[in-house]
Amino acid sequence: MEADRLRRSGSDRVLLGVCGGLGEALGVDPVLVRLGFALGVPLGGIGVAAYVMTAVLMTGPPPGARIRPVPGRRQQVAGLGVLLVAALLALGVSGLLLPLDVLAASALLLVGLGLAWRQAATASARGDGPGWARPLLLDGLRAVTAIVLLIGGAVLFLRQGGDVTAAAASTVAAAVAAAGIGLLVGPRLRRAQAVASAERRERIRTEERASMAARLHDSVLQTLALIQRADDARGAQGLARRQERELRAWLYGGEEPDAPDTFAAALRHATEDVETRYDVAVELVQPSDAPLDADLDALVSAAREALTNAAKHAGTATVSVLARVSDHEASVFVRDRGRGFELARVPRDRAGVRESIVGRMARHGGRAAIHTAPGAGTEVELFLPRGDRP
Amino acid sequence: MNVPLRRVVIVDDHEIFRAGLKAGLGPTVQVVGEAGTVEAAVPLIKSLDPDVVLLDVHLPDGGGHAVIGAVHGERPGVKFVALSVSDAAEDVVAVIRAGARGYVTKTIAPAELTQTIHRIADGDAVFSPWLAGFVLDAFNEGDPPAAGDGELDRLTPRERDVLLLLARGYTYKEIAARLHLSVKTIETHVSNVLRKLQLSNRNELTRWAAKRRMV
Repeated sequence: MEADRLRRSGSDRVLLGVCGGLGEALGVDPVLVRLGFALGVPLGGIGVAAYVMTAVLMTGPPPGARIRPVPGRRQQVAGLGVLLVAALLALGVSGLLLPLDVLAASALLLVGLGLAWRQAATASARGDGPGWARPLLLDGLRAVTAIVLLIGGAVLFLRQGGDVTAAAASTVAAAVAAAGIGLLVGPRLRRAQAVASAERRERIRTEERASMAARLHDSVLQTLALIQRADDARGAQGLARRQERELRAWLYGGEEPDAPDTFAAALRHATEDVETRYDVAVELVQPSDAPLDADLDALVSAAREALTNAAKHAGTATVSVLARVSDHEASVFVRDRGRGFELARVPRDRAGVRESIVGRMARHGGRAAIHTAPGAGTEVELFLPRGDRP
Repeated sequence: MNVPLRRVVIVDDHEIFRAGLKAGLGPTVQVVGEAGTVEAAVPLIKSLDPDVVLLDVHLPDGGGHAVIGAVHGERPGVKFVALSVSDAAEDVVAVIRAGARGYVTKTIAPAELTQTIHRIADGDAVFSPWLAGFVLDAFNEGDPPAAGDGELDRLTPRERDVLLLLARGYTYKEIAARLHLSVKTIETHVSNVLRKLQLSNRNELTRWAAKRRMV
């Protein structure tokens, strides 16, 4: 990325190394670039402003680069300066030079614009890599300078008052110069940004891998170690089951929010809760799903009650649950092969079955059926019509 | 009754899982070979000609269906059961449509797996509750098939009853008792459903499966 940045040249420089750097980056003889800027000078002196703006936009020569000392090119600089002044004078005399106030205004605007752009570019390309610990003070200074220059330029324009042609001329000149420089510098800035964002993506991937490794270590490996040491098979089974559930939820369910928003998620939630609380395994089959609404929520609550009853009273290690939902109907079957009971002998005041299951389903327009007999297990069937929904 | 000895090959890329599976199978099942890849499994099965192959849905060098495809033509007598831990329904269905006679989850109890192997070796089909629930919904979804569709694309009411009870966790025996049918009849119904699952052209089967995951 560093190599890709547009830099002023340290070795091939006459003034600031702008033309040398541009030539190197574009693969053009720097002399041609210099010629281009020189041609810009007669065009109302805009070449000078463009040179300054580009100088501001480019970063300095790479650290450690051999820098051609000023004394070695003193003659060149002096000669160039004389030429420049002479050209400006000649332009002024022949009336080709833009009025000084217009020139100054556009120069200020151009340089201010350049500063502001560079500010934005470095801020967005910086990312958070350690290599970019640039002093905040310098950033602030640059921002303030940019604003001052922009405001100064604008004020100068306003002070001209009424000289529309001059203002238009300088605006057009500034726009042309800015567009030209944008064409030169823009693609490189874009490329630098693309490199930075690729690096950021790679970093995110690495972090994800690390977090997955940490997660597997914290959960799966610890549980496996525990299981190897656990003496009772039932305890080990419980551990394994809980771990499997957690891992599954993490792998396929994403990080689940506290309130599940679909029927299947809500039922799975309820099932897991009962499993951990009563140490039973629930074989949950739910091939279809739908967004949770108040009626489906009631269905889940009734199913949870049925599950809890099975876990508490049936005396078996496993309970089977089938949940289906379509546009017309939702149904849940909770079945155990436990000891069962005689339905008629359930006391009237027992709220569990009568209120939490049968009553709740009825209130939501559904129904519940309970099949059981002593020794034959229990099955609770819950149905909820969903046909004529608004 | 004299229970015949069944010769079984296990194809799964996890060695620990194969070892655990082998340990729990009991005296009526003999594991004659093991493989961890499609490449190793195909020649092994062809040379051993076992009764039943326990086949992982996912293998490092391809799906389980690749094994079935390569063996089926030459050894039509070998029967396959798909085993999976948590796979996309699409992959499970691919193995079954390639010719597997059934599907069970890897958490199945050893005694139940032994029973499954015998059932498969006898030519029956075995559906886990998940597979039954899936098929029920896949054949149910959307509009009823167009008039031109054959009987392959539809389940009979009786088949629906059987599948629904399977999905609810009933054994064949319990289903037979509840529907007042013989176990043999239930087996026939399940085999017919398997045939439909393998041969039906219903778009829903793949479209539906693509969205879901079997546990």
